[in-house]
Amino acid sequence: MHRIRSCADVPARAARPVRLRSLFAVALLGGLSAAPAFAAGKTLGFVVTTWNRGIYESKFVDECPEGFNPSYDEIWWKGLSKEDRAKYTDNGLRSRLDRYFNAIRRGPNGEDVCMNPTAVKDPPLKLAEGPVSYGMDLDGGKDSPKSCPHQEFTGVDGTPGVDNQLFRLLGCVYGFRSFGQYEANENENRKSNGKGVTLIEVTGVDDARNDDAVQVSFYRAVDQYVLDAGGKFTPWSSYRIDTANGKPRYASTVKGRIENGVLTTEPGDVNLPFYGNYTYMNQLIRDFRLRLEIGPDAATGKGTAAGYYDVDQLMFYVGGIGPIHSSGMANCPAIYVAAHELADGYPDPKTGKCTALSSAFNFAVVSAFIVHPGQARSAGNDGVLQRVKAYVGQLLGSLRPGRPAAREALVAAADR
Amino acid sequence: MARVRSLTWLAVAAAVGLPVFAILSGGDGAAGPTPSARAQSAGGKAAAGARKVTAAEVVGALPAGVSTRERGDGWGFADERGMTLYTYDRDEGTPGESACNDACATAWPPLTAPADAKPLPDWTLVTRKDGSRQWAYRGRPVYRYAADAFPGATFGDGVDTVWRIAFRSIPLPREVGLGKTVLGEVLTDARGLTLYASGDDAPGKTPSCKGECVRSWQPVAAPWLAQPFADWTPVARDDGTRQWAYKGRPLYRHVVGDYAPGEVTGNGVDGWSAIVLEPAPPLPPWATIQPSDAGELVANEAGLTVYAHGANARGQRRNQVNVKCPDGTCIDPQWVPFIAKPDAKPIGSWTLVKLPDGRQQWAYKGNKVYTNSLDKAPGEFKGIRFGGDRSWSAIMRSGEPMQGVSVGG
Repeated sequence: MHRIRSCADVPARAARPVRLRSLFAVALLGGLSAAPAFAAGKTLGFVVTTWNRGIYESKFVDECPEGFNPSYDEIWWKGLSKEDRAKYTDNGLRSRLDRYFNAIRRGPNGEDVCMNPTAVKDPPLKLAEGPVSYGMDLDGGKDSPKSCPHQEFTGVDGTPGVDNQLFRLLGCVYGFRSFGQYEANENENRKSNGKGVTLIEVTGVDDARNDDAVQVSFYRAVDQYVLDAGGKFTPWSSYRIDTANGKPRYASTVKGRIENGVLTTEPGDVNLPFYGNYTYMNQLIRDFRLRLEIGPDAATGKGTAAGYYDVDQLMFYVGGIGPIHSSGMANCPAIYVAAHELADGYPDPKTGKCTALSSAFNFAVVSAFIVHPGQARSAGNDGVLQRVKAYVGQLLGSLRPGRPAAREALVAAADR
Repeated sequence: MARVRSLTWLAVAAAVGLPVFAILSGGDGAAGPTPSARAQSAGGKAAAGARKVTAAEVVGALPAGVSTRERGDGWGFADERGMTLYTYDRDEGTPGESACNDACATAWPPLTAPADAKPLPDWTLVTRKDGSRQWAYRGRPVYRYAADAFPGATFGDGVDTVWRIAFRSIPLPREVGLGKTVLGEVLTDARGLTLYASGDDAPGKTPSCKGECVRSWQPVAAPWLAQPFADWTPVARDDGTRQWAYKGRPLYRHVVGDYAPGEVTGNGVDGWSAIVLEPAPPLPPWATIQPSDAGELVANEAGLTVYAHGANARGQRRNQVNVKCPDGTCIDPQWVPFIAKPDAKPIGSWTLVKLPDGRQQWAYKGNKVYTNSLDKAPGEFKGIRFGGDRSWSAIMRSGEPMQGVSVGG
């Protein structure tokens, strides 16, 4: 295995200044080594840095003509008698209510209505309306044994027949929108403690820009994000795969292709890690597919994923993050009812009712070295040397006619 | 200029023998180097001869019957039967008296003092609400925990995040800490990475790991002003740098294997061993270890996660379970009591609780153990939800609370 020498490998001794001559020699070597055409069967690696539900937000919130949904505590407060309001406010002496603990347990027998969403019957959820949504056409625009009747959207790029019932469900719940509590918390949680981080590995790459047959695998990282001093994700850093007994704990593989630097995959069922709002879970997404645009610097990328998301999984999460709803303005019982009504994929063989929601996710990545079981990981800042190699390779590529595009040079530098 | 001035002050401090170590160590300062330890210079090439500090020197006089139990960073206290003593954070709000009375005092029996007891330098007496007198260590009343099943048990440590073992700590070097792993409590570096010692090293000798060796085993550097203290000695290496040694054994990180706290990849490799201060408690024979997103979990023979109820190991206050059941004794049907076989025997932190129907239920640190019917496969722990009842906790193999399931956790 190609092993990158890192700071952790250096014997403990007094630091000495790096000689510019040495650095240039290393950089030159890196640039030259990146020059040859991409060898067969190479590997690209990425770590997912943000993962958000595909909630399309128009400038004037046209997708929510009836406005946003009321939160669970608003519903609780509206349902209180004058006497109850006096009780909860100490006859008006308390201005700050313990909203969560009182409002969440408003079932007839004091049930937590997020854990027991059928304990009460609330006003129906206000749904997002079309015509535009993120997402992909999951059902080919027609009814199939895998789907239930539903309305389709037009994609943000004009693609017809886009399926995204998750957006229809959550698009008008304020906390699930881009400035809401839920996704900000999820991404920040993962960034701060490194739990539930997804790795994407593309193997069998013959040509980093155009390759009609690659394998795309998804793993869970065991290492935290490598961040720079400004808190930004550091590309070209190493991440070990979460393993048990020498095997990856999460390992889903689908077929893919790369066209003009854009990676797409064929549909396949994947099991992705997830952590957010202090909750661990996995995301089993069926008929999953992905489109990833690798940035011109090869160090970053952004993409869209789509597939069918299990309703029970969604409700486990929505129901389980209880206190977060205090600021997320969601109401579990209404979401529960609507999620089952909107489900458009994977009918239950017995009842015929669909059990999954078509969904879309927007995500971002940075390049990464993915370390498999049995491989040694270099230290977190190993990316420094690689970045030097990559940038000098880019410089050389731009100076010499006939050189491969800078992008290939950068991708080649990432190869190990 | 400021840097020069501070260095000058440090040099002066070192010259006059001030307890620089205590300043540098970041310890509580309560137990700085003893005069004899300070007098020993670390200027020699090999270990500078740290002298073992005894409990009697640091802890001082104890009430009759109270004993000490050594750990790597100090001494815990126990009563005449060897039962662990605890302090209660809420006593901070009631100086000179105890905030734990009535039902609380049943669960946490106070360490009472006889009528003729006289206060000692660190041990004073407080008068309880019922008129009895109770020993207090450094102003904090001390208690036993009724659920502690045997001498040395520490089931009460961390309960409700307000009960702690009554403890006299000694400072550790700033570069060193403590952490829990599958091996038990270990010495770590300041980032929480496990520390190791080589079987080739011996007290009084120059560290043997050099050259290629340090590419895998990175020495834990000691500041040049650091002094030997207690079990800690800065030793000189061949390259002129200094390295911390614990009980004469130079300390290293396993930099090609351990990247996160809790990892112990270097243990047992070519004569290297982690510095284990307190071995992990034993598990019952039925226990299996299952990997999960949150780490290694203790599970039953079928691999299903087992949970303790009431342990409140999640680092936050308990939720009210249900308005009809404010005392937290209601158990939702999803929780299935984990019944012991008739011939089961308690082991370590795992004890048995007799049920009204004559069967026995396993308990962990005194809290009854259950499985959860939502869990269908090994490694699942659907009983733990952020918005759920926080009196439930999954049991981690390391003994640590599960991380990531509470704010800041």
